[in-house]
Amino acid sequence: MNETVEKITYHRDYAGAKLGMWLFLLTELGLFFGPLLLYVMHAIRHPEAFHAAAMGLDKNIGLINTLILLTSSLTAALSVASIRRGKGELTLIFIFVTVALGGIFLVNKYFEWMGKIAHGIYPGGEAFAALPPGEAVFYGLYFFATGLHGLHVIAGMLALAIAAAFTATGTVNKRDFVKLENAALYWHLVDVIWIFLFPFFYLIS
Amino acid sequence: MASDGAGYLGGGGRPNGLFSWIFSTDHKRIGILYLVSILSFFVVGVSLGFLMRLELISHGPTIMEASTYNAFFTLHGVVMLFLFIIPATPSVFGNFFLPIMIGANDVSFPRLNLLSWWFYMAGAALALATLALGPADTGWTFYAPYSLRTGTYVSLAVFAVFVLGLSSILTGINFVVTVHRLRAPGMGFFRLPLFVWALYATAWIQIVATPILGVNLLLVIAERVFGIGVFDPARGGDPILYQHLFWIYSHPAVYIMILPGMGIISEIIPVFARKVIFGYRAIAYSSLGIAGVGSLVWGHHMFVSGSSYTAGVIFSFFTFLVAIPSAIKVFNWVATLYKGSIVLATPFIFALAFIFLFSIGGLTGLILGALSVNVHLHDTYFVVSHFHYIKFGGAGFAFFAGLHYWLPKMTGRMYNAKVANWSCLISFLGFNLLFFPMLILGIEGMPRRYFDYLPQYSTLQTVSIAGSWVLVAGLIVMFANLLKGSLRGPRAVHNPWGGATLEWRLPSPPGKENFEKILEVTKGPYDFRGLR
Amino acid sequence: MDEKEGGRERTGYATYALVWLGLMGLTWLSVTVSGLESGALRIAAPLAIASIKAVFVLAVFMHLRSERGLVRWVILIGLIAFLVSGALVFSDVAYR
Repeated sequence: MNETVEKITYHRDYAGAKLGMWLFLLTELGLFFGPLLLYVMHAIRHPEAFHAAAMGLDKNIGLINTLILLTSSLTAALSVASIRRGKGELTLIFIFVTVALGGIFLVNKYFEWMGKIAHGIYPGGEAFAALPPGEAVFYGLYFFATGLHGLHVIAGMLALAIAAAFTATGTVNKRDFVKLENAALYWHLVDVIWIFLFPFFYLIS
Repeated sequence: MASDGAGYLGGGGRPNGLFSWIFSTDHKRIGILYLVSILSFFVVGVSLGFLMRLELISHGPTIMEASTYNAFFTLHGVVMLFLFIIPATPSVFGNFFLPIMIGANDVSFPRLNLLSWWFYMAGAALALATLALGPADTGWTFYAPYSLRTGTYVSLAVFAVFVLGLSSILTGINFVVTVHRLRAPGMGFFRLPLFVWALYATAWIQIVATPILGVNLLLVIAERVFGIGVFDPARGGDPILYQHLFWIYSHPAVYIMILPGMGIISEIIPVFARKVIFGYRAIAYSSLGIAGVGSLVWGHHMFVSGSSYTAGVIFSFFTFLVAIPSAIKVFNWVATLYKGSIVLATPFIFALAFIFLFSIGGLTGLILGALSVNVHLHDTYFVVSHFHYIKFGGAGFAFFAGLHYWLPKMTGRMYNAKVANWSCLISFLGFNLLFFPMLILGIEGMPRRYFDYLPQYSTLQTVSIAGSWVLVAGLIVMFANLLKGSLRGPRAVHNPWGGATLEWRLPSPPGKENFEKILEVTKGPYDFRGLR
Repeated sequence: MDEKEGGRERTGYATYALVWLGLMGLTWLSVTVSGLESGALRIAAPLAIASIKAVFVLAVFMHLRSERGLVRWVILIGLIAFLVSGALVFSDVAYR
């Protein structure tokens, strides 16, 4: 009796699980709306300073990272497509590639941050303290937004790794793959956020 | 109806004892968990407020130093808002009754529901930990730049609020998905009880607005720990933007507090007027309207902050606009009473108190929404009184009304109605005695959050302090009566008020499974034909 | 899994690959545009391109184009709320 009721209420509500995930993704967008709003408002207040500060960021690292994340988004989508077709091993490979690309993204990010930190441009650093007012805000927001995004990349990698483990054990399979699909949705959202962070910090100022 | 009468409260499962509560995924048990924890923190909040009032009984330090007073009003705000009134109605009555009212056996994500309670407790523990370490003295708004500079444990307090926000978001997501996915056959959107409509609208605010507060609080922590400069004028930052991000959440949060309360009133009024609610759709849509327009008025907290005049005009306009859907509700409640066959039972008396107090709160809100008047009244006792009329007189009394309406269903036992009526009257008088003088004090220029005051305010301050004693006395009577009733009161019948919503079809208390089999809903929530 | 609820999605591998190629191309385009022009286009174009890219990811990779019901509208509801909030903050910062 208990078993059946639980099944009726929870397990088969595939659309419900996805709706819940989308609502959660909306809250994640809200989280990044804050720093982006601050960015726009500060850019209005200090246009020259933001332009000068953005010159200090390497467009190419940003570009490479964008391409990496877009590709990882592709492999995440493919992992869902292949589990739908019942190809568990292919799914695992795609997940592995996705997580690996996420790792490469983080390594790039690490070197980019370290480059800035080596020059003392970080909150609390000497060069940061000497920056003109608006430029300090730009870098403050840069570290905050990319740092927060980096944390989301890590969370996405963990979610995908868990989904991979479920796939390996067969919990995630051709008929029931909402765990993997939701993990992939999360990963895509991390990608969408980066799609916007990239022009804001590297291109338009 | 139930054989042993223990229902979901009965033991026998595994795990047993305390663990069968704090690890339960049953929405009814989680509702009770919230009830117990939220009321405990309410006692803390009331005590803080009571002591703050007492401090003002004479000039100079009476029972505490100025710095303690600052800590007290900060913690009073944090506890009352984030630990009591924001979660109170959705997490207690929402958790318990939303699934039952739509004919479901649980919420969509029962484990997330439990997690949300754990987040709530973790946040509460962190918030109260600051009390021991060195409580924040910024006020519950944590305004920059002071919150970036003060040496108290602001980061910890702010993080506590962040965790509480997470808990609130999880509840919101759960409710939206549950309403969309788990309605019983025949339960169309326009057969939903208005309480469910109100919770649904509230849940959307929780989902959309809470993350913005969350990131704002993270920014405060980043400012304090690393000094990223976004709110720091010395580095080109702008503290007014902190206020924007703060109120983008925190004004809609006022509607997170009041909307579920309005939902409770919309349930109680028709049941005790024995009449279909007047303007069902208008009330349902006005919940969504309040959620929508209420998200556009936050700037009225910032008229004198140095924000632009243009923004002031726009926000003032929306502030007046949001009064419309609120007034629609009040008019419809009153219209429901017209030619109703009114039963003056305890929940209904509380509902009447709500309408009176909320109306004062709403109308003083209009006064504050006017730009020119706001300059004079900003940060005075007038504001303090206004928002207490909304949050305590409104949301708080609605919560009490809900307690008296639903507690017999939740515990299976009845309280003493006569004592409950007296407690309502005493609290109502105490409340007005406490907060009405503050309206006058505010107009006369008494600023809020001050540790001391000029001699000319003495009389009204004393009246207000006496009011706080009466209010606390009323609350003690109320809770003692409810506690005694819940533990040792006579057994409640399954439908003591003659309600038509689905929870009244279940035994009191409901069984472990709400509905043994999927039921077919064939009539509206306020169709009282065939009931008493 | 219920066919009615989640089984409608039938995007092939090739479609995903094509969208991916498009996204790469758009990224290249946005970098180029931001380097060439100055003025309004330099700001507007990369943001417009980013929005197009996001729509592609949401519609194809995240399957919104084959979803039904509320799921389709969740992000839109949020976006409208965020944009309106942003406009209101703008009404302060720009006219101070």
